[in-house]
Amino acid sequence: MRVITGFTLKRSYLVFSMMLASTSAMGEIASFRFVDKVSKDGIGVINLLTPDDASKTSNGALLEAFRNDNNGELAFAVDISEPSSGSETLRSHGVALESVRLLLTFPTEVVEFTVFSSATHSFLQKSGAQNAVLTPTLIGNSDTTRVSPNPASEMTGSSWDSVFRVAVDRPLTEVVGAELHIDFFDVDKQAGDPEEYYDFAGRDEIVALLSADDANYLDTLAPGRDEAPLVLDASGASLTTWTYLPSSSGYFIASYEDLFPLKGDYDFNDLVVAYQVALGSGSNDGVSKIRGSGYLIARGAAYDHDWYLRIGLPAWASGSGTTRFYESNSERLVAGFPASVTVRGDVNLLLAEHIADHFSDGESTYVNTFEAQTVQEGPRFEFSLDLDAPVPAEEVSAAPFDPFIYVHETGYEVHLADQAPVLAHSRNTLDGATTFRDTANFPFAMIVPDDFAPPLAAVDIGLAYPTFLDYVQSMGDVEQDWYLKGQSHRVKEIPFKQW
Amino acid sequence: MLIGKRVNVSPKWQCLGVTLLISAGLVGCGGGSSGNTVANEDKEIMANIPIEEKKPTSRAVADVQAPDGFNFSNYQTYTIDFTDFDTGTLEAGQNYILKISDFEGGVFHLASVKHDQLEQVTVSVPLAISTLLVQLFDVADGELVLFKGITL
Repeated sequence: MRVITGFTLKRSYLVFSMMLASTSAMGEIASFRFVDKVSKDGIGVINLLTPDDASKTSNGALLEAFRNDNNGELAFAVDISEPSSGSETLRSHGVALESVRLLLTFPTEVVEFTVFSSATHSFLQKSGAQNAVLTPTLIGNSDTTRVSPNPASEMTGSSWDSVFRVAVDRPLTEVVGAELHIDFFDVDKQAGDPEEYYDFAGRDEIVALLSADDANYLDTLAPGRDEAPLVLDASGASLTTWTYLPSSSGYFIASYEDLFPLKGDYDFNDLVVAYQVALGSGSNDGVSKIRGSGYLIARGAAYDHDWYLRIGLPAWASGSGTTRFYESNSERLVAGFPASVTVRGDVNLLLAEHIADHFSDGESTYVNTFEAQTVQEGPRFEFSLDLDAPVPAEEVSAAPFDPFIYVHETGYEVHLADQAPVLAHSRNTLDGATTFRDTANFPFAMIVPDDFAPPLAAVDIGLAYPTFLDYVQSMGDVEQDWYLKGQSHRVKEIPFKQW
Repeated sequence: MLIGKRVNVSPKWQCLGVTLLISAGLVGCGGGSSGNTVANEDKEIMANIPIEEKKPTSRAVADVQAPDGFNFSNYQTYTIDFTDFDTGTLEAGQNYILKISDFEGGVFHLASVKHDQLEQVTVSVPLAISTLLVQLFDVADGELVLFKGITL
C-alpha cells in the first residue's frame, strides 16, 4: 500500500480507513473502462461513475482508492483508435490534448481540476492559428496484447495506450458526481507532419481508469512511441529524432524487370514495391534505430520473388531487430515471420518471401497490372533494428539503399544499376552476371517517387511515359517529372489507400 | 500471323509469340517463361488490349542507348550545411524545432535541436522537387526564427 502524502496525519488516517473499507469490499482495485467515450469530433464527457461493464459500480470511495493508489492523481488511459493515414499506421498513431477538466461534485460544492500531465508532447499548429505550440500528446498502436498483473483488470487483452494523469488534492470519498471533460487538439491538417500524425479522425476513443501498476506498465510499454514523429518531453527536448527517407508520408517505389540477364518487355511491373525508411537518433549522437515499412503494389510476373532491402553499415556496427511480413489486407503474419535479424555490418533484410504465394489475383499471378483488374491491396512488411552503439549518419549507406529481388526460377538477384550481387545462394557471381545494366545501359530495376503508376502488362515504360527517354538521354537534366506524365490508358493507377 | 488480329492467349504465350516474331529471345514478359497461371478473365483482358500494345513494345527503349553512368534513381541526396545560415540570434540551451519540407507538405526531417546541434542534415528528395523549405521554430513562443528556401 502506498503512503498517502500531502495531508495531516489525522486526515490521512481517516482517508486510509475509508479506502480500506471501499477496497476491502471490492478486493484489489482493478482498472476498468467507462461507458462514455471521446467521440469522433474530439470531445468527450466521461461520467466516472458509469463503468462500461454495467455489473460494476463506481463511486466516490472507489475513485478515492484509485487516487491513493496513484499517489494523489487519477490516471487515465485512452485507447487511441485512429485510421491509418499519412504517417499514422496500425503500429503508431496519436492525438493531442487541448484540455482536460475533472469536475467533481461534492454534497455542497463542485470542484474543477484542470492540471494534467502526459509523458509526451509535440510542437503543433492548431487549425486557424498562426503559430505552433508545445502540446501534450497521446500515442498508441493497435496491438491488443496488454497484460495486467491483476486478473480482474480490464486492461488485459485491450489496446489501451497512453496515460494522462489529473492531480487531485482532496479526498474523493464523498463525491456524488464526477465528469472528465476531454478536448482533443484540432490540428492544422494541411501542415503535414507532425500535425497530420496527431490529428483525430473519425473514431470513438475508449477511456479507462488505471491502477498504479497498470499505469506504470503502459508508461513503460510506450506503445507506438518509437515510430511517432517529433516526440518531445515537457520542455520541448527531443526524445528521439527521426530522419524520414524519402519523407514522413512518402515512399520510394522500386520497380523490377525479372528476366535478368535477358531484357524483358520493359513494362517495369514484374514486381513493384513501395518502401520507406526512418533513421532514429537520440541527442545528436548518430543513428541508433532504423525502421521501415512498405507494401507490395503490383506484380506482373509468373516467377516467384523474394524482396530484400540491404542497408550499408560500417563493419563495426552491431545490433538486432525484427522483420514482419503480413498477408494481404490482414494483420496475420506470413509463416516464418516475425523473423529475427542480427546486425553485423551491412544488413540484408528479407522483407517479403515467396511473394507468388502471398500476392495474387484469384488464379492469376498478375496483380494490379491489367486495365480491367480491380485493384488489390498488397501485403505489407515492416522492420525495426536497434543498434548497440550509434552509427554516424554519414556511415549509413545513402537512400534509397539497395532494394533487390531474388528470382527463384532463375536463381538470379536483380539490383538497381551499379549495385553488386550479395546473396551466397544466387547464380549471379557464378555466371558472371554481376552488372545490372543491359547492353544499352538500361537497368533492370529503378526507383521512382510514389506518384508513379506502373505501366500495364506488356506496355513498355517508354510508351507509357512518353518523356521517359528524354529524361534518360539528357542524363536527368530535363523531364525530371517524367513519372507524373503517364498515358492514362497505358498505366495502372493504384491509389495509395489500396497499397 | 498475329499482327492485326485479336486472339485469346495467355500473357505467357502472347509474349513468347511476340518474342519469336520479332526478336528471337530478346524480348519477354516478366517471369513468363514457366509456370504461368492466367485466369480466363485475364485472357479476355489481354485480348482487349489494343493491338498496338501487343507488339513487343520494348523497342521504345531498346532503340535508345542510355548514357553511361546515369543512375535512373529519380532522387537526389542533398546536404544542408547550417554554417551557411545566419544563426547568430539563436540562444544557447533553447529548444528549436527544425523542419525540412517541400511545398506540398512532404516532411524530410523533423527534430528538436539546440543551437549547437545545428550542423548538417542530409535528405533524399525527388529530382522533380525544385525547392526545399528549411524552417526553425522557437519552442518557447512558437515563433518562426529562421526560414530559408533552397533552390535545388
